[in-house]
Amino acid sequence: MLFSVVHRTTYRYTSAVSLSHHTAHLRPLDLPYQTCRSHQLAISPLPTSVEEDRDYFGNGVAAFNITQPHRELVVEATSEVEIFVRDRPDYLFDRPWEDVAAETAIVRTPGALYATEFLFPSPSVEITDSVTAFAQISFVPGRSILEAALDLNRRIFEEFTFDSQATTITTAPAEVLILKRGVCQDFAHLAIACCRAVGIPARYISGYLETQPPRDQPRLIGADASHAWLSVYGGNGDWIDVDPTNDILAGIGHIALATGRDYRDVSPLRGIIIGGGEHHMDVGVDVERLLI
Amino acid sequence: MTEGLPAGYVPMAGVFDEMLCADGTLRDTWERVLATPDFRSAEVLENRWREAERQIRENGVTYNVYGDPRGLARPWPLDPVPLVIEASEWQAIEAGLIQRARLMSYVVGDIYGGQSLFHSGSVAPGAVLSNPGFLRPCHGIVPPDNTHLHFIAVDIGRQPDGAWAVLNDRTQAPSGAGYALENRIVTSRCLSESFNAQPVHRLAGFFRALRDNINNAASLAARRSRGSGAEPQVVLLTPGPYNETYFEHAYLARYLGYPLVAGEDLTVRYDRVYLKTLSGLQPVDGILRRLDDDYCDPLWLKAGSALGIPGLVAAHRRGHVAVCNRLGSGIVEAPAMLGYLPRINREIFAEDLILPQAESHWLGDTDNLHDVMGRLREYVIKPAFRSFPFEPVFCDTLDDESLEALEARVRKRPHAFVAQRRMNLSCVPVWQDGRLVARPMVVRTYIAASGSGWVVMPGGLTRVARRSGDPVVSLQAGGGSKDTWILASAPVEIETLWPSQSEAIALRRTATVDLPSRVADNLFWLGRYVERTEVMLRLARATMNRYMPDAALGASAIPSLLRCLNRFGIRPAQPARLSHLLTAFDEGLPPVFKALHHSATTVRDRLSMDAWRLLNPLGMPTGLSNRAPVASAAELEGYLMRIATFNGLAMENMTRGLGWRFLELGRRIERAIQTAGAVRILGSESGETEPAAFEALLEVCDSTMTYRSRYYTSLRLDGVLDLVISDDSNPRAIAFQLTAINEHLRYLPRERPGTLATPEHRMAAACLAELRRVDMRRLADSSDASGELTRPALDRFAANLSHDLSALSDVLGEAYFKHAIPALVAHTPAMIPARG
Repeated sequence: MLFSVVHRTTYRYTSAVSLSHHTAHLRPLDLPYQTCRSHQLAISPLPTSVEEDRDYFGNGVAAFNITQPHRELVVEATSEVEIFVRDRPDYLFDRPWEDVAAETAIVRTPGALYATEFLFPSPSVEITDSVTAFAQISFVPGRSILEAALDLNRRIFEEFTFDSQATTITTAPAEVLILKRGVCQDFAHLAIACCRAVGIPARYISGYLETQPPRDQPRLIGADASHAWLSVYGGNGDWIDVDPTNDILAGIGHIALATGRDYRDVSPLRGIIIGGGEHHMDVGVDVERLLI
Repeated sequence: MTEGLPAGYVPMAGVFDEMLCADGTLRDTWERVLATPDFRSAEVLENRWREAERQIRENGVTYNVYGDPRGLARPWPLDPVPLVIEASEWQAIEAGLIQRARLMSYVVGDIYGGQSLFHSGSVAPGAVLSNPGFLRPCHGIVPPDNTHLHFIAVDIGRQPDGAWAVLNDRTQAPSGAGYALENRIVTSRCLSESFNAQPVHRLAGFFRALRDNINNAASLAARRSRGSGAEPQVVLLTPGPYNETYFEHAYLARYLGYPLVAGEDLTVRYDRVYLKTLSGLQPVDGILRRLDDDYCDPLWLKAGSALGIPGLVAAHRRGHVAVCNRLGSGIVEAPAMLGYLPRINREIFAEDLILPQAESHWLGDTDNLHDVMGRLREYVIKPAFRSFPFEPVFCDTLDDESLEALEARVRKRPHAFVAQRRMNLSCVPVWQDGRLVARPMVVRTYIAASGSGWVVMPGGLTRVARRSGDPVVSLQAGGGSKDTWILASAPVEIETLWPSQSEAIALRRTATVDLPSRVADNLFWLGRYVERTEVMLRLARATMNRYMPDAALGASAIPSLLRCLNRFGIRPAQPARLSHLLTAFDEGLPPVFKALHHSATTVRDRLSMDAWRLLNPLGMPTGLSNRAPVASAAELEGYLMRIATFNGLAMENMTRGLGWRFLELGRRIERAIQTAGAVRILGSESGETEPAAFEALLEVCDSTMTYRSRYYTSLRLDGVLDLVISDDSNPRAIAFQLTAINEHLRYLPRERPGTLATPEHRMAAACLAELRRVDMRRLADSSDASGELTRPALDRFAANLSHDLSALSDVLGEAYFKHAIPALVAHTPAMIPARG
């Protein structure tokens, strides 16, 4: 399946910004089931330079700075991504989650070494007693890793309400647990914290989700949003991508941008500005299915 | 048996004693030191050491203790008795330190590169990956000179059997080397007889090697970013005056000859680092940093750090700047790494560690956790990473209940802890209350990269615990320090940091680096505060003199003088008695002194040692109200003399660069404003109190002598005003200040010769023109008195002048210091777009 993605971020400042430095994680990943066919980054005003690189986790990262005074910054990423159908990893129904935890406790394989990156608390994923208690309901002894991951996914979907006003980007998993509300980022962080609490590596994935328009209605341009989900280590180099916001396994409509320990490793756009006063931000994401 | 000072010294049981052998006799090295006249008797030592303490206070050697009610700048605690180490013993330590430096440098390079240590299983990956100090954005950075660690500190201690062992490593921004240097200077001066009685290794050679190495790294970076002809520029990056070791940053910057800069002085453009100076951006090729790893770049590292430089990581990655030590180098100083080092050294270098280290286990490793939990009592539990706030727990001191609680806590987050075997540190004599007492000690040693090898500082910072039972030796916890004498086997050569240079140098009249805007700002305000303090002191003295019983001066000027003092926040309780006045001084002077002291602190590296010594005591003024009036007057006089001497030093000893001009501008503007203020109050008197008030005005403006020489007896306001306002030749007159201001402005970078191009210059010129236009006789005339105002024209003139000069000060700030103001807004949290 081929998708075109346009991700446009606009900042407006009440006073001029004299100098700004930014980093962007906006290039779709190349994965066994995903190919980034093309990617362009358009920035206005024109930056002095744009340096594209791979970060520690293998994501594409662009760094740029703008030295001319400006009151508006527009960053528009346009990409074409092909997604292939993935089989459900049903064989993971046979693998007890304790085996996965034991594999990463003593690292012996490159797969486990990579997974160890995602085993420990990270800046946005703090592990508290309440998180551990919540995790243990899904991770009961003897359960398979896939079953446990899907159960956690379902519980977050059923027990939590999607609410874009309840949390901020710095809300910790323990707080989300109390609020029982949040957005995809909060649910992904909570699920990651739960996995790590019981010794299962889990990583954060930032990306997009194609949203289906209601029947007989035109697709609204820019109605889509950036999305987040997680990947749970299934042992032996396997990973399970789950989306607790929608209680599904990630599939054909999930377009992955970047992966890291948590949101802070892969925030789509961050920056340090000098001046600027108050600012207002506007984001539009447009995911369109292309005919091949 | 021992006699003299060591008599009565009681060594601590069960540990090695540095001074005494097991049989209670003096060790040879100590015998030689204690035989010198410096240590002849308690009285002699006390006497000589009083001089040392005075030097420490006056040099402003300080150490900031976080949360200390005494605030910034606690005097540096230095003990008179040095630690003495024999040449032969030191050789083994030196070899061990060099071996360790090589090992740690390798580990840092590997973790931020190929990570073969993970693949080979030499290190549990989690010991690194769970460390918040492992900076992933810095992975893959290769320093321009391929040196990952330029400067390392290693804490060593002595075990009961007399063998030295490693306790701790410091690999990101080691502190203390500057204090070691200062300890040496003070101790060798005050106890010169014992210092000279034996060959003690000098420290300068070490710093020279350090500087050469950093300069070399910087020149490689400069070649990359600016081409081969570029002359490298290195700066010392400090977190600022609130850091615990700020004194040392300023001290080392001066000693090594690097400008001391804060993060806000630097900016990154085109992946290159620049220093913001008055005349524009100047390239920076090397940064000796005293800022911790993750604070260095708010864009790539810890968001919201106002201390760092956005974009530094990118410049570092391109090799456009040498950062010493490289960002992320703190990874190897983590206690979690300690347990793995002996094995790595065997596997990589096929050697055992020469200096043993405390047995140490990272508990994130399941096997370690299992082993340790069974016999927890034998260990000290410490945080695995320095950023994790947890005080070490000595498990042998815990009751069963607490031990269980600790165990549960560790099991919850095993990766955050290490278990270490307790080491019983050796004791060293410390001079306390007139006798020698035994205290546990740790020696911080320093190693610098040098070419392809390493150089060890032949000395170190010896730290002692405050109490005999203290298991933790820490200056934050109130311990002290000592000079460390490494004895040479042959007489030593006297070294200085200046190399003997055979090749010719290009002569230059300016510093290699232009003045940073922030420094210009601080110097400007230092000038203003110095002058403000002087005026306040003059007013205080003038007022006090009029209270004296035998005062020949008119006491009727007191009310107006008090009105002047009011402007500085000095408001004595009524009725105005001398004791009330002194109490008001005690409350009112310290804030002004403090402001002056603080602004001097911010430019400390720009002041000469002498200048700093003059201003430093003002930071801790003593009370006036509890002394005899004569003594209080003398104290005030003392403060005034310091200010006067400082001004003299600035006049005589500062080169006429931009720094001096900004200091002068601040001083001149403040003096003009203050004189206008005094004229406005004291010049408004009429009738009987007139002569007394005019006399006071002359006194405050330090112009009495000149007036007398001109007018003999009569005291008339027009004469006074002419002298303190419009007389160009009187250095106290406002006209003199305005002329000087106009002159200084001509030399500032924004000006073009022969034009009044800038608003600040036009304003200053207008003030002077206005003053020239005014007739002093008209100002002195009181015939058109209206209401409260006896001389409306004078009042209006003085008020306008003050107002215009304040505006000039603001315009100057806008023009030159604007980007010096920390206007950096880290918008990271708000820069976050859509959340799904």
